[in-house]
Amino acid sequence: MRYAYYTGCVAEESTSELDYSTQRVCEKLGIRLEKMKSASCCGASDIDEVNLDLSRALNGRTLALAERDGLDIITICNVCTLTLRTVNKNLKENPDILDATNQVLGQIGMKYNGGVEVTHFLWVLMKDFGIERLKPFVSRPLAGLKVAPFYGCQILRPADKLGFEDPYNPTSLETIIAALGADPVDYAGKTKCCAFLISLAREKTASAVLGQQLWDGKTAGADCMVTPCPLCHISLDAFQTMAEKQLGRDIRLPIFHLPQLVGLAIGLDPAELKLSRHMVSLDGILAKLRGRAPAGVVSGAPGE
Amino acid sequence: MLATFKIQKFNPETDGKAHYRDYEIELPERATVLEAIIAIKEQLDGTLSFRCACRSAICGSCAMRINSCARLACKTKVADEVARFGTVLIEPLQKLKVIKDLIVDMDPFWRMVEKVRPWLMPDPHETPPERERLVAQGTDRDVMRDSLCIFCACCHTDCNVTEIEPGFVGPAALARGHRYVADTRDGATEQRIRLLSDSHGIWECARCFVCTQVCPKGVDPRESIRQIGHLAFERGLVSDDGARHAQAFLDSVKASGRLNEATLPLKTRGLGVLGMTPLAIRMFLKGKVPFPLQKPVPDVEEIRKIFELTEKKR
Repeated sequence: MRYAYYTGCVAEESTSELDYSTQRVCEKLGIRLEKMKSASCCGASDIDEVNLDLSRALNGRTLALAERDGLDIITICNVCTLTLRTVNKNLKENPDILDATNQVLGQIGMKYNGGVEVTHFLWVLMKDFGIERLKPFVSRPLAGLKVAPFYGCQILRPADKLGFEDPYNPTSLETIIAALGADPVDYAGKTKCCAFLISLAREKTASAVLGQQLWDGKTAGADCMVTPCPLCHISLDAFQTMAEKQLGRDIRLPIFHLPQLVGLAIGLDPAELKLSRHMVSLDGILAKLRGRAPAGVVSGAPGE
Repeated sequence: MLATFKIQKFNPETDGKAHYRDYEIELPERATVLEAIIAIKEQLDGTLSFRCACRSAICGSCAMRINSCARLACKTKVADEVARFGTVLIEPLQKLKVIKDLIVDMDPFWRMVEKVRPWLMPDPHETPPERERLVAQGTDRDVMRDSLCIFCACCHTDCNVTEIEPGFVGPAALARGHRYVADTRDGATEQRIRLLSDSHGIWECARCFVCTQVCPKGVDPRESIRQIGHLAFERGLVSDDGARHAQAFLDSVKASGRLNEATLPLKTRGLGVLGMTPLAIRMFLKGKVPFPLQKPVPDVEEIRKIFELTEKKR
């Protein structure tokens, strides 16, 4: 099992713990990642807003790089996933758009023929690798840990570009959480927005949107959350204090990147998962997993 | 098919607050949720109140939340909902005042639609033509897509931003606004783009894609919002922090091939970024603020060439 590994900008820098833990987990599971060193940023939903031709050419180049190596692309970010898949679908389904894009790519000696699929680490675990194959790797089941899945928008919607699962009733994260021995927590915010993309431009609104989802998860009894997206992670973890301020409530909910949660259960050392880089401490969770949770820290009633 | 329903009920004359009532009813395999609640009203609970008219997804009046998602009751099959959720939970559209049971006051929604001036405004300096104005083929595609909207308010009420920020004009209104921007017969394009990109307009969209996903008619409000953003850029309307964010993003990818997370806040917010200093310091201590001077990705010349070939002059 081998993929062209599209790390994405945010996982290379502010959430480098995601890149790091993804690589450790894939090593252990035998999933080979060939890092796409010269790929550009996908442009998120910003570049396609300014200049659609540019977005198609930039991402067309990324797709062509993978095609040249005969590999499909694996991403670890929801926004990269949607952006690359949207461009890929456009190029594959519209010969005119593909031609126009290849006119540009031709000038740098490249061509895309439409032969690449773009997938996400979550989907690879669920489908290509498979949940039954994951279970025997679970050497330290996360027994008793209540985990709230936070999908993030751009891995579910719009389904015509993503389409891995029911956008209103997804189950992949719950399936993985259960396979790792933990208990998935159901709550209203699990398919909602973290508002990362307007966190700079509309800070108050974004903090209130974010706060609602965190609070929903917290009050549903979660010890922690897990997300497959580094942008959601920045919101949920690093901007959590802004949400607390906006809500006037303590939340203090630790947030895992998906490969970190998998990594803990398959026996990787917390140091290998770089858990100490998080803004909201995961110490209470680790103590709980070691069976010495200080009362009230992990599963205590949420503070008002 | 025996199906179970949990329906939110509220009668302002007798109830202090909303409550849920369970119903169990035998239905034909092909029944829609609308047919089910009509049957419930006829056979089990004459007080159950809801709006409906056309029964064929044209009037938009039977919009309600079905298993926590805004949908048209007449376009939703009971069997599909039972297969996905085991039962059918029905609630009124969220964030609008409940008049009774599933009937909500749509006025706040209409006020948002009115804000985008949803009518053709011909150029006042243009002499009215002798005959009808013809729309050239190919320019009508976006107008057609936006025009499919039936104002059911599914996208508006499920939007993750309007849910929190009632001032946001919302996806339905923005798509309707775009319908007139895209119409070649309209003479107020410039004013419209300014109006739609004001503080509660397109830059408040968080890109959650709920609107595009829930629309029962195939309108794609997020795409319409993107297109308005594009037109705002073409005209240099880039004073909003949302637009500055997009511009900063573009500049950073052009320079290094990658997003520069360190400079993005400053370029988006200007001096307003100072309010974020305490958070920035704590993030810095965790190693979460990258060094502002980035090493470009290998082969960045290819990326710069792509920019050169695709950038349009403003």
